[in-house]
Amino acid sequence: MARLIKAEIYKLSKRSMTYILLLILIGLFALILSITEANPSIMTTETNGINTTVPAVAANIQFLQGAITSTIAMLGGFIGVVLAVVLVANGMGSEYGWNTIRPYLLCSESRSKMFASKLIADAIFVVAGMIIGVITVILLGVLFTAIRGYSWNLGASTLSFTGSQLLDFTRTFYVILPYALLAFLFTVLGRSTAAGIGFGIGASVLETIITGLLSSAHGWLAKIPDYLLSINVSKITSLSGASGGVTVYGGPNTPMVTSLHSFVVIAVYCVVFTAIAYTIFQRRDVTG
Amino acid sequence: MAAQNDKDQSSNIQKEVILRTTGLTKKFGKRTAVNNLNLEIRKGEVFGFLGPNGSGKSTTVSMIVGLIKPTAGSVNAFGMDLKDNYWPIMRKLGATIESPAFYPYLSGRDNLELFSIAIGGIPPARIMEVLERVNLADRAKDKYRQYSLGMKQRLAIAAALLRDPELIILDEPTNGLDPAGYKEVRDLIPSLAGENRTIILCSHLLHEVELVCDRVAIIKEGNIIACESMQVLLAKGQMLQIKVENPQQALAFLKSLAWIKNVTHDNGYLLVDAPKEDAERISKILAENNIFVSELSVKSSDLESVFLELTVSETNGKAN
Repeated sequence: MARLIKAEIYKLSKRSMTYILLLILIGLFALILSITEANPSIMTTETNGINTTVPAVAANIQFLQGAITSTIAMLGGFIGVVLAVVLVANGMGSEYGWNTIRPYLLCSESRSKMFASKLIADAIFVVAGMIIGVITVILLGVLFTAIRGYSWNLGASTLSFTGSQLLDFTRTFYVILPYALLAFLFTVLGRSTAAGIGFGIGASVLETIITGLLSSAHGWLAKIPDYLLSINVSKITSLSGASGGVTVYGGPNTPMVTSLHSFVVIAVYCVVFTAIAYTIFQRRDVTG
Repeated sequence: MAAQNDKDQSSNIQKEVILRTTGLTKKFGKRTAVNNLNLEIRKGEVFGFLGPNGSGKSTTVSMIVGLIKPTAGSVNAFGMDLKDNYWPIMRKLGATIESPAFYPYLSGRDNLELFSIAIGGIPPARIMEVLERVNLADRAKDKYRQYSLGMKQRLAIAAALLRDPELIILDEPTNGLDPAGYKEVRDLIPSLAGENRTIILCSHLLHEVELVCDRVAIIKEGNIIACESMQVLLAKGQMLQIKVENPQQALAFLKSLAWIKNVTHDNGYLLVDAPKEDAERISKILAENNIFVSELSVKSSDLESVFLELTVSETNGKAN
């Protein structure tokens, strides 16, 4: 299994698509932060009993806390989901597109191990992308702090703060997961990258629209969104104090939706998507 | 020659069976692509697997390597059942299935490195070794997408050799090769067999198979219609070529003999479908009937005519 994971990492690390996605991520972060920094609103922060008045965005990005929170908001939102879906769908879809699934399976210990190694390698690259995203925002924060001449404050770098940010980081990864797995499922099902990207993003957008429509309905229909992805993703991301997911409507404050409920619903979706993809991959003949 | 045949056959019988398919069947919906296939491949032989396009060759080899799951039957290789011993079998088996397929953004060398990582336990030097073997060492660093079809075919063979396999399956390895490349691959096959490897060569190029194979199976519409040593198969296509003064009279007479399968008249010669052992008997019986033979020779057959005869007669048989 370790061999196959290594091989998958080798494939992704040698592929220009991986770096293009990373550049898009960094570019988007730079663009968004530059735009907000160009027009900062004023806010007052208190650190160690000292009040400092600085533009709001700058106040956020000059500290680790602000940097990570900003990153989580962007990663857990549409940007992170789209990039993860493209990465995952491309990784599997290319095997079908180039027919490399055939020779590669002959070099793989088993189909189940190949399947698992693909998902693990994708997860590693998504996490790596998230880490690079955080680092990018921190560096941008440092840059803007230096350019603007704001005061440096590293007061947020405590152990408890780091722990809570790690938790937020994990939550962000968790909300990206069902969309990535949905893309993986449709890539395997359609044996193409386009099917994975199309259904992965399309289904998630469609679901948010359905959620919006059903939330305005009455009776049992109104409860259906509680078991769809978007409300539950919003609930998890709201725990980080960031708005995330691909929700266009529906709220994390619906009485039925608790954190545990959202966690379980997302987990069930992940298991179901993976199980269907695995069953298809395991049983289907590989023909020319 | 008969003694030589017996010797060949007895030595084949003694050889260990390295791959056996039992009742191997694959149905795609209502269509039976491979029907109850029973094959035995012996250690060290070059086994030709012949058939027209769409006859079931690639489906069969895909079942042997686990890409396609059989509807019925089993594959046993190296004394192990494929279903329960996939990886132990695949560690000893290299294969090129249908057209070559690699990662276009990687070089030839990197593609092989990737496969060697996935397989595991392959020494790094082995990559260049196999590339040299297929004459691709000087283009090793070029991207796969820049390769010609012939180079892609050779890279596929290199990938099959990567794990130093005991059994190699080459599915149409000369497709797209120019004459020089074709010869290279044709020369490579016996040299691989000389290293105590067993080779299954799937092809519809009969000349290629005739030149390198010890034994041949012919598949048509999913059914094996012949499985013989090359010598026996070619002997089946041998004809006696006879020249007489009055061919029409001789033709009528020979056609009246029940033990002669077929006689035709072609360009002044009679072509008698009978083994060469019957030459003396035919000459004698013609002379007894005042038909005197001025020339008698054995007309050797090539695999192509045997193949066509078998596949056409099979079709005619079905039509009747």
